[in-house]
Amino acid sequence: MIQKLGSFVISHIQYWGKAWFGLIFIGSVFNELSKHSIYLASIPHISLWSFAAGATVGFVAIYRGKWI
Amino acid sequence: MNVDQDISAEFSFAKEKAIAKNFSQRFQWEMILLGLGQATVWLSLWPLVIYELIPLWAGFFIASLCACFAYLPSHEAQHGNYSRGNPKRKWIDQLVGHTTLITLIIPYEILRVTHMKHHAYTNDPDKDVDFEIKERKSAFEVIRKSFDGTTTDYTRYLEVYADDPAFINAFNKGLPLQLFYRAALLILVYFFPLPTLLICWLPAKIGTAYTQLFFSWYPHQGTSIGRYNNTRFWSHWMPRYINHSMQLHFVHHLHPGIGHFDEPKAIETLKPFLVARGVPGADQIPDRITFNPLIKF
Repeated sequence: MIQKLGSFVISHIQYWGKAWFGLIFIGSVFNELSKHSIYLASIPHISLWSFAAGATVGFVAIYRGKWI
Repeated sequence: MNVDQDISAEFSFAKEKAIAKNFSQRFQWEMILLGLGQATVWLSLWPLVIYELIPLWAGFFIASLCACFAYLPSHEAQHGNYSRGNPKRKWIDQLVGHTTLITLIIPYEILRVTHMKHHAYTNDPDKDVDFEIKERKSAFEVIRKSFDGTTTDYTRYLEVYADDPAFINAFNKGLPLQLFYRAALLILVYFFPLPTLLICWLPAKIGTAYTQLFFSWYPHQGTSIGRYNNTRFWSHWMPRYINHSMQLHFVHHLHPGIGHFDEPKAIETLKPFLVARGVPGADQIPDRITFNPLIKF
């Protein structure tokens, strides 16, 4: 059971890892940076846009098969 | 394979090995200090930065330095160079190996088992885990690949070594820690976005790129397969302490048991053996290894 769960998690991460990393990691960094910009901070729902931008970077990386 | 073919008895492998053994016995306390020290400094950066006792940019600079020092102490542990075959001291290999790699966010077991394969199959296109780095055309390419994360994605070697249960077991032992590292990174970044980026993630990337450049690319660039041909002596404008003395990496591949800080002395003694074997660049090794022994102008 645990072994099955482990192999599911690993195969999931191998394919979707970049998207999760983009959404959570890059999204969190974008969100924090946007708070430091007067212009960005004034945009409605900026947190949502920040995380969406992070996820987009992740999906692009999956499509390209690499980050850079 | 007979390694003594066409070599006079004076420079036989048995004599070379006996000399190397003399340099493979000292307890490397300074490497332990380096490994545990950098990890302690790196961990202490978190409260210092979060409570704004030091600025984030200073934390980033110190964390990047720590990350550049992180691999070497673990590398000695991977070769069992702290325990030196003594089962009662095995815990030192484990302690230093695991702790020092926290800064690079890579599990010790995975690096240990893949590094052993690098030694066993150096420059083999299919089996050497560092072959992809060695084949890069420029230092910039190595850095780009390191930042991309593809050079530390060793999961594809699970297929290559599918018939090697020792490899698979050790690799699988490291996987839960890898998952933990990834999860920890994603949790930390949510609560402390910029410290996680600049104390953890970016320094780990810089440390990995530094390691792969100086450990994997420079010493193996343009080399072939074979005990005396798979690594080279090389020159660099940097004093050797800045590139972790990797200009001398050749002797490590020859005798991995030699302690890192004892390599210069070992090379001085082994020089006639290396010249006799026709090792590229061996004739240019100075009689006394100094600050930057292999520098060329």
